[in-house]
Amino acid sequence: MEKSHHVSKSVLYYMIRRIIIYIISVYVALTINFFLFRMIPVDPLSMHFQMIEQRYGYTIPGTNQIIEHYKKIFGYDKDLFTQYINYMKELILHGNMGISFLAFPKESQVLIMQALPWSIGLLGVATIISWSLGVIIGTLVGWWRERKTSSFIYSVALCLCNMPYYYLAIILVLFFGYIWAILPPSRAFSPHLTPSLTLEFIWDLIVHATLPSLSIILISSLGWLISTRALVITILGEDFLAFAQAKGLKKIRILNRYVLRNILLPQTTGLGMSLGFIVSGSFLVEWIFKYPGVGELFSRAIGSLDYNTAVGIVSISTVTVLTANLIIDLLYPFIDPRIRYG
Amino acid sequence: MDRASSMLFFKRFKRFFAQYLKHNLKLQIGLTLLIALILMILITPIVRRILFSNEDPLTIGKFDRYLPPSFEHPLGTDLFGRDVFILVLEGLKNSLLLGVETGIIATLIGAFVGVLSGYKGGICDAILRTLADNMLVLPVWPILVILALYARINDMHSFSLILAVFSWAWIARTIRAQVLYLKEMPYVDLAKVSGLGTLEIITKEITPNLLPYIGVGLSNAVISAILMESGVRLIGLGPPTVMTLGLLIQYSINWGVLSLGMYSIILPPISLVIILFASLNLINTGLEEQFNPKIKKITGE
Repeated sequence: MEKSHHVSKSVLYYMIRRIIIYIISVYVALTINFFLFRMIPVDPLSMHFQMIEQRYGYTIPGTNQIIEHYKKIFGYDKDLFTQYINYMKELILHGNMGISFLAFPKESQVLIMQALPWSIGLLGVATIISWSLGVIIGTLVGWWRERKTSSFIYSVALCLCNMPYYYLAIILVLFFGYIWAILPPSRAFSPHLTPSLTLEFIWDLIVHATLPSLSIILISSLGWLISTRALVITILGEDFLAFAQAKGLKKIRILNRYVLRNILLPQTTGLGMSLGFIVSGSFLVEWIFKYPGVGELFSRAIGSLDYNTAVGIVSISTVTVLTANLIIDLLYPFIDPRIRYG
Repeated sequence: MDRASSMLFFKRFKRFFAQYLKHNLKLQIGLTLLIALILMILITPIVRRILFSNEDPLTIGKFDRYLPPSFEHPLGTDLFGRDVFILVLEGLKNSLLLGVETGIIATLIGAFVGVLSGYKGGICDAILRTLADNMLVLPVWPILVILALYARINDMHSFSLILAVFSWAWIARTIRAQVLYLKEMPYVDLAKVSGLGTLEIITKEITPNLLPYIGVGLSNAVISAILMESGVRLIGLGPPTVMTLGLLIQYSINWGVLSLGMYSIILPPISLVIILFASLNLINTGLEEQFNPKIKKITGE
């Protein structure tokens, strides 16, 4: 009794410490993001005017006044430190990320919030499917590791795991989207449809998401396959497994009760960690498919130097990663009681 | 480096080729692919000479645009009337050069930091380790984009320097772990007792045993640099005058090659990147299997 009380207390301390570290990291990350972008020497307004002047070959009268006026609206006329204080105050108190440049009077967080569901939907589904596929196939490949097929699958996985998704995305879009034209090569839904909960729209959504999610699933399941296989093979060498075999248990039961159960804990942790990248994991895939997610928005924001939107996106993706790690660390004492916190 | 330690390096390399290469299929395939790619780069001038004699096939408007593959143009021509085959070879060369340059810088930084923090320990270790750990959780991609914006970089050297900043942390971490392990080995104690200085112990006793890890780190850094570069290129940043595989891919997407379905332009650069990636991946796993008995057990071969 005494002992268990002691353990829970140390776990509590551990959690408090972990949460404090989390808060500090989030704050530092937000600060770094702010300064990184503000220190870019190119000013978006001047760049846009320059571009217009170059393209159409005439000087706009009153350029400087216009730029000054807009700088005042964006708050760029104050010194960097005041800008920082204002930005943080707005962000923390009101969740306000500043005016966007892409969709001028709108605020950045409005744009980001519109894009966020698309990214989370696409990557969430793709991550879970590829995790399940990777764990199942990895277990089988590890279980039958002497077979030719297994070693072939394993070699292919070794060659291609951790490959950026967009290479496969380009190949898929080239063949399925354009040459054979079976699946839509871009956008999240057909332009003639309006978002609604009809069967037609949902089907359209799935058809459009097929290629982008396929390019994520095919690559990222390979990583899960490799790690699962490694786990399975280490477990196969354990004594308790030899004992289970000696008892004469059926193979399927051994696989289910002894092998799968032991790989699920580390792999679920891994799944949680990779869900941290749910916002930032597919930036370029979204860009290639013109999928209206955060990554596509980020590329557009960079293209027109929309700093507020870009900072907002980077901040959200950093905070998501940090939060996912925090949740896993907080849950771990309950999932795995073997770990001690001193 | 004096004679004894250079002998040791030489011996290790000889052993590597004689022993490890013979038994490891992954290393064999990986190295073959890599050598094939390097050969392709080396024969570029000759191919260029044969196909186009003294003319420059990369001048804009040299040939008709979007010619299909033929004997004169093995991969056709692009929107600007340039020969795609030579363009791809040029891109491969520059990509690989960029990767190797970045890889070497990153490996030097990583190895230095790793050895320092592993061997010294204490506050030095704490600072360097925190730095490396934080580098690893940074959202690399957006920050890279910002840095590429910053400089509007126009030469490849500063670009590879920037890329190296994002690649050293992983190397430092693996090397630190290995140094921590090697530091406790009896022969290091022996060297200490026999009065060798810290620097000598590090160069003579520890570094030779780090070689495989440095090799793995190097090839990892090379491939990640090439991939990062083409990612940055994809959204239109990076030095616009230097042709790389990433820039070729970006052109193909931006100038409608993809929607025209012209696979002769888009597939070669992509498949070259994939082949390069696969070969370096294979070399990595092969090396790790040879030198890390634990992994050998796991891979079961």
